[in-house]
Amino acid sequence: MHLTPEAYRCDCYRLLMAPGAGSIVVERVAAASTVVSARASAPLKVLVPRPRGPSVWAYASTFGGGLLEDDAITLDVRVGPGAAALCATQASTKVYKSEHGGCSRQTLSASVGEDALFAVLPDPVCPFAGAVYQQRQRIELAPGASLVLVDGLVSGRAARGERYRFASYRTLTEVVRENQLLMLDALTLEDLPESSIADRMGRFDVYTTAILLGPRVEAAAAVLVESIGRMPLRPPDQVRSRLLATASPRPGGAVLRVAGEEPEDVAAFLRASLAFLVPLLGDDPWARKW
Amino acid sequence: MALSLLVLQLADSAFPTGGFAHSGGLEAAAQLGEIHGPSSLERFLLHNLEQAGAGVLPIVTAAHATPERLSDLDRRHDAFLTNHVANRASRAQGRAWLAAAAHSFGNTSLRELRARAREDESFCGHFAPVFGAISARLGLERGEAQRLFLFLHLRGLVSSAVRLSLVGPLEAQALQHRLAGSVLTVLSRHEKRGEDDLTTTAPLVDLFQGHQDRLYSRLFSS
Repeated sequence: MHLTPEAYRCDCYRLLMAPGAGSIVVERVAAASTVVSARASAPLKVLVPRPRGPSVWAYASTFGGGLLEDDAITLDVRVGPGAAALCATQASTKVYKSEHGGCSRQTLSASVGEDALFAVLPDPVCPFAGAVYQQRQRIELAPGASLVLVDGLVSGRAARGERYRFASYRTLTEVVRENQLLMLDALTLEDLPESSIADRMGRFDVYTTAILLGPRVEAAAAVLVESIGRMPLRPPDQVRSRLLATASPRPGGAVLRVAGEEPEDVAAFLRASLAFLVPLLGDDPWARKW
Repeated sequence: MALSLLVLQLADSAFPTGGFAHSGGLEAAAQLGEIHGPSSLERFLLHNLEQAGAGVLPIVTAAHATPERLSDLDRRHDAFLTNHVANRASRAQGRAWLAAAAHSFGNTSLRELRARAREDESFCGHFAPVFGAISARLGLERGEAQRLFLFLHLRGLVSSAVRLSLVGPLEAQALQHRLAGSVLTVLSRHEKRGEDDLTTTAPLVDLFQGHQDRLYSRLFSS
């Protein structure tokens, strides 16, 4: 769904919104990023703890804290020129079992204006046994726009011994600038006749990708490529490392991939790696989380 | 079954395409401590083959169907190959294939392809689109091109396992033979997929490979 600015301004629009649809519009007003509108219809909720400042902060959540079969969450975000916005979650997104083969969907469409910054820092998706999950993200960057996008999953309810028991997990992320595809990231995890998901994910319970692009994060991305490139392959006293991370340079940024045995390790690694965002966002979005 | 002499030549290790400089992430996986014993090697090869089917073969198939769209498909694959090691290896192999094929077969359309690639500064020369376009220009059928592609991928992996001393040369041939069935399974799963279906199904293969440049000593470029 692509919404025009006119559509956002229409007061009637809320009545037309489909269940699970939401939108956030952020503009730079009088030298501060400002939420101009934030709307959502159940089961989606959009909380805006910081509607104005160096960056706005918005949290998307769902009633009941997870996605049921056939739930379709659609979030449209517009970050106007020169503005900054953080979109995050309060906790991992649980995806419940699909009882009748139906799918749980999340869609994010965003446009990021010139010199704007959009930071998408959700907790990982946690698909339960039997879950069917589909996620699509399309981010359109204006020239000079910057993006930090984190996207990850955990294997399931590890405390219950549930690892990679979901039926299907499919994601597709496209980052586009002036009709040119800059980045295409897709993940499909399903059991195959020759190998289960658990076979292919081995000892790791968490897998996360972080995309960093654009002038406001380019220098930090280069530092990460350098520092992660110097990390030892494994701790000197161990056969294998509990966490593996790579940083690949891309024109104007970098892509990080992290796999960990423990969610806490991956979260701590991301927090340390993305600490450069704290001044850009006006505060530390991880500070009160753990 | 009539054996195509052309396919045999393309599959021959004497065809100079530089494929043996690459281990498809196996060397990094071994040094990361992820390969311990024959069964874990076989699992790694199986997952690697599946990943080639999901994340590379669709571009081969698309380029074979529409070789004139080589540049578009090349750009799309570049957007997908975010891992710098895999991206570099793909460019090196693609350019080597284009040079070797244009030189070997004296085919006008291949030479045109190469000349156009040289003029276009944004052309990366990724292996999958180049391989698909070349195989179409040489008259290979789609299935032949796809099987040859997956065979070369598996052969390269198995050969690197021998040079990394993870398996002996005879056992390696038995391993390759055992995995031939998996080549066909992977092929049947992905043969109809095109550029819109590119995806990652074995993310650890990619993650291991991304460590290649951090290895203290190494035999392979990827």
